[in-house]
Amino acid sequence: MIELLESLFRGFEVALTPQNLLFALIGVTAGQVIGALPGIGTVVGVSLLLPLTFGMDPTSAIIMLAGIYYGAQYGGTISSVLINMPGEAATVVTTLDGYQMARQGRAAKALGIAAIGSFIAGTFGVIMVTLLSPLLTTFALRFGPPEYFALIMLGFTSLSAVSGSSLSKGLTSVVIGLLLSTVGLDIMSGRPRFTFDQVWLLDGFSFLVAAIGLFGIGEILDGMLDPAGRPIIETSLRWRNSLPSSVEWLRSRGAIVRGTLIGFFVGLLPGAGSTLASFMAYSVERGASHHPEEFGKGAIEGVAAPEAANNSASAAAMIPLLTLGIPGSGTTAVLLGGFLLWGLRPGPLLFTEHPEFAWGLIASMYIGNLMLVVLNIFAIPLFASMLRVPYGIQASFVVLFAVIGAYSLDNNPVDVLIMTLFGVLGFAMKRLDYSAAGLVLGLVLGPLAERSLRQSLTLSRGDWSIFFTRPIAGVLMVIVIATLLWPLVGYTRRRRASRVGAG
Amino acid sequence: MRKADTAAALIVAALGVFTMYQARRLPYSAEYGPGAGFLPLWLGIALLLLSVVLVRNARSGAAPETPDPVIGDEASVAVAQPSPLGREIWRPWLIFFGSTVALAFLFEPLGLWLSTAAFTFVNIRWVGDRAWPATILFTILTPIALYVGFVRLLLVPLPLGPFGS
Repeated sequence: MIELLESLFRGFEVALTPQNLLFALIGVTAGQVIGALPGIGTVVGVSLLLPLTFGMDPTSAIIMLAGIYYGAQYGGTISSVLINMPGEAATVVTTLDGYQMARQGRAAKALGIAAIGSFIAGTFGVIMVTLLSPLLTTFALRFGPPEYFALIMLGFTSLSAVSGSSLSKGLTSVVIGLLLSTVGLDIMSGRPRFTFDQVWLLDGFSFLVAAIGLFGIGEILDGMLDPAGRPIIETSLRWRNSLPSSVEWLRSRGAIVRGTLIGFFVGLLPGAGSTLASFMAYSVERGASHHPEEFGKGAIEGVAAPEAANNSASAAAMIPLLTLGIPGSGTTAVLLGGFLLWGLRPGPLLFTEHPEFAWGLIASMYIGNLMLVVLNIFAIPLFASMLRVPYGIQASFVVLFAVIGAYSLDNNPVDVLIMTLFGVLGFAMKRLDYSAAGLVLGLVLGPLAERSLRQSLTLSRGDWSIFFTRPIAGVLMVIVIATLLWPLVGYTRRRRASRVGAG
Repeated sequence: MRKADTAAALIVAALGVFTMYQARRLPYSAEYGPGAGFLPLWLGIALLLLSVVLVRNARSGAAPETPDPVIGDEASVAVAQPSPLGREIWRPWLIFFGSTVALAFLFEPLGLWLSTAAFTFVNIRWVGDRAWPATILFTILTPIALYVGFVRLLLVPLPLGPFGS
């Protein structure tokens, strides 16, 4: 323990140099802005800025890029709450209650609780990174393909159960998302699927292009049809309004704790990432709440839990990256590429061969989180002032950001057209109450789900019982089946009750 | 809404059948396990089964598998309580939609400056309903702000069209 504290102390010596403090501040501020801009998600931001760091000292470079990574988790909340357009996938679920809070004039509160929850979860995540790296990575290593598949199924069913007006519509959205994820080259055999001899379909659909279209364009096209128009929400610009009241704090603290823990454990799993963590935290919170009927209508816990979860998960995803060299998310995969370009190899030897790098990064995460919570609480009035812009004008700017965001992913005009098509699909789904979030989750997790499923069935020689005979997978699958069957039980009960009533 | 829901369910059914047909042309199994057509086939079957439930729900006018009130978004509320949409709603919507589609097609050929200026001009004037001075100001400042923010600061390589260097 003394040795660990000494290492951390040395890390703070590195992170607290004026140069590294400046890079941490640049990173978290840029992350905040990148996260808030719809369509310019963390992966895009880190990818775009990675080439700029090649001439830099690797420690300063990783401090800045990591700042962008967790800063964007905070920033993504801003657009989710203020314009119902998630800056990235991990903040999709925040739109459910965050935007409703904004419509009720509680935008500052939503952003405030998100910042506080994110700070608590982010700091907890970094403490855990410091303390538990070796122990927890051992547990994550016990996850094989069946456990991954079961976990993803749980994410799908949880989402279907919480979004839209019916489970069947939610599941349909997820299945369509999964289907879209199969377009392109087959992940295992390399055979083209659903490409219809079109070269541009070989790479499949980018989830960011789909998300920008579905959430950005789709939402706005729907919003423009609102006969009452979207009211310009009058939000007090004083930063004090962003602080939760005692009642709100009492309601949120449990959500923050649960979200933090869920986020941390899900974030540890390579590939699972903060998106699944935020969806699971929301689902668990709704189940644990004494007033689940308020979810989706502006419940503060519906913001606190997923925001805590995605920040905790983003910190936790650094553990497999640093200790095993396995990226836990898309962004950490890009960071892994950066490590290699700087001549560093993440893994167990990183902490012994480059302690100033590894511990400097961890120490900078404590400092970055502190910078972010201060930045968020005091910058909330600035961001909330966006709401004063009339909806028609806001909508125009969202379209401009969406077009630029879609184009910048691959400098490809086809992506802009696909994004627009997804926008039309999102509009139709919104009008018919199908879950756009379900489609995006299916698209994002589709490749991992398919790989896990096929690897599992290959391992078991086609025997589906592999998903039930292994303890972790078995428990997860039982929860999945219970979630799917629960509405049927409720339906049967109601029919029985109505028959008894009639009789 | 019932008609729209039924139509949507039929589209889902058609998608399911199409997926199954396409998946049958891919190998269901490979040497060591499931093949490229395995998941698509099951997804097609799932879509077909879900479409049956969706049609049933649409015809019965209720969603029996939903014990709780609507979760999520205001659209469902808007759908649940439809109100007639007048010309004053449709006109700006059509202008907005048309200009969005035009921007998607013309962003690369016209470049950032021209395409975003034209889009901003149309939307600020006829969708945002601003006066001419504000419209002109937005039309000039928006492309400049986008250029400085994305091209100069974030170094995003965007097409600049005839005015690009």
